[in-house]
Amino acid sequence: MAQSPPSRTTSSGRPNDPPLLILTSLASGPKHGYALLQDIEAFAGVQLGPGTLYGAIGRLEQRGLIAAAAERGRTRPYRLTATGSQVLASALGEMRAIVDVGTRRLSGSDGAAAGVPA
Amino acid sequence: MNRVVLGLLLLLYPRAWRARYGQELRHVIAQTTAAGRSSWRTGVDVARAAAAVRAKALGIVGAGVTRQDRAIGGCVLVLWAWAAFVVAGAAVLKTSEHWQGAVPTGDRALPTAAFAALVTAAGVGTVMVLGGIAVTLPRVVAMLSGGGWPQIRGPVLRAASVTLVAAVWTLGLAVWAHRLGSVARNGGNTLFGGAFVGWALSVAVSLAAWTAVASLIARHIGLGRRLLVAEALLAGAGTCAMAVMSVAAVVWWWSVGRVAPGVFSGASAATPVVVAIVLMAGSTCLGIAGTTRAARELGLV
Repeated sequence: MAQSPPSRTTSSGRPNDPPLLILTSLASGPKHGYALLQDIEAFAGVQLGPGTLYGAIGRLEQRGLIAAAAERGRTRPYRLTATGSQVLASALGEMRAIVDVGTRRLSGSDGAAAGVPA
Repeated sequence: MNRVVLGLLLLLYPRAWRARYGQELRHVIAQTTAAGRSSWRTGVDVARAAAAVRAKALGIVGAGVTRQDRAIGGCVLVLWAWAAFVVAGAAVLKTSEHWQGAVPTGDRALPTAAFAALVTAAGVGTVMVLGGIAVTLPRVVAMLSGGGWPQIRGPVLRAASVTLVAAVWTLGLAVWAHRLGSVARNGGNTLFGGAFVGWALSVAVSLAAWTAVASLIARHIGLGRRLLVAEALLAGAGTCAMAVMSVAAVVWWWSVGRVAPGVFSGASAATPVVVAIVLMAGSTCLGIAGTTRAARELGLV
């Protein structure tokens, strides 16, 4: 039986939401904590604190959206699970829909922009 | 970041969380600070995140636990609010010395009524809190009889230790105060003033330690719905008492300060007033948040 995607993981759905940023970063492959911080800063310009990072990692792991790989010394890489991929795709789809509507309205190609004063 | 500071920061997390993520977090903190990130910002971030992890573990915030856990979390939040309010009460006590003598007879009606309301609400609130503890006693006894002592032994021994320190400090301070004059006891002796602040902190830490024990026990005794509803109602009544006390205290201070401004002037009198107002307001807000959470999760509102 096909399962519907789980409900969105991010509490706010904002682009700079730590869980969303972590899932997006892991979409390109497993990473350990510091590599996550560096990648997130590179693609999103957001500097997460270590406490915020591991708080989000803990929640994501508890919900089964990411999984820990074997420890390598003092680091432990995390990877996206199948459920995590579905949730990420769903969250990005919702954001894309909002981006599309906003872009159309700003360009005036959407009739709803008629009420906006010049 | 200094190793001692880092170790203290990690202690803010629950033990189980530290066992799982502590080493990784320590390593990442070392890497980020070595890369030039501000140590104090990192420290604030870690402390805030630790508080969030603990609050979620207690069921005070978050939706990741059962409704029962969230209801218990709400009641526990009210308990913590009450503990902070007791500290405020100590500050109120400090400012309530000899105020009747300073206020003219014709102006005593309002401050007397406000002070009476404050004391009455304090009594009611205390009865509510003791009632909340009393209704859980059979479950606590059952938990201990069923081998639950190891789960709470550590925190109980810690609380007992800090209470012993506070008790010894109280005795020492009382003996010292007995040998000082009124002026020295009320800001004239810097050393005594410092010792007094230390004593107040030791009592506050002791109170926090026992509140932590109560919070831990609440998670282990498995309250049924009927008991939870009783706890939520008692928590609500306690919160109402805190609100009444807050208003009564402000009215009392204002009405006394209006006719006898000298009573609350100077650092030794004004500081406790400010501390008490901040604690009372914060505690009442926490109490409202906790009561609302418990009531919602139990379907009472």
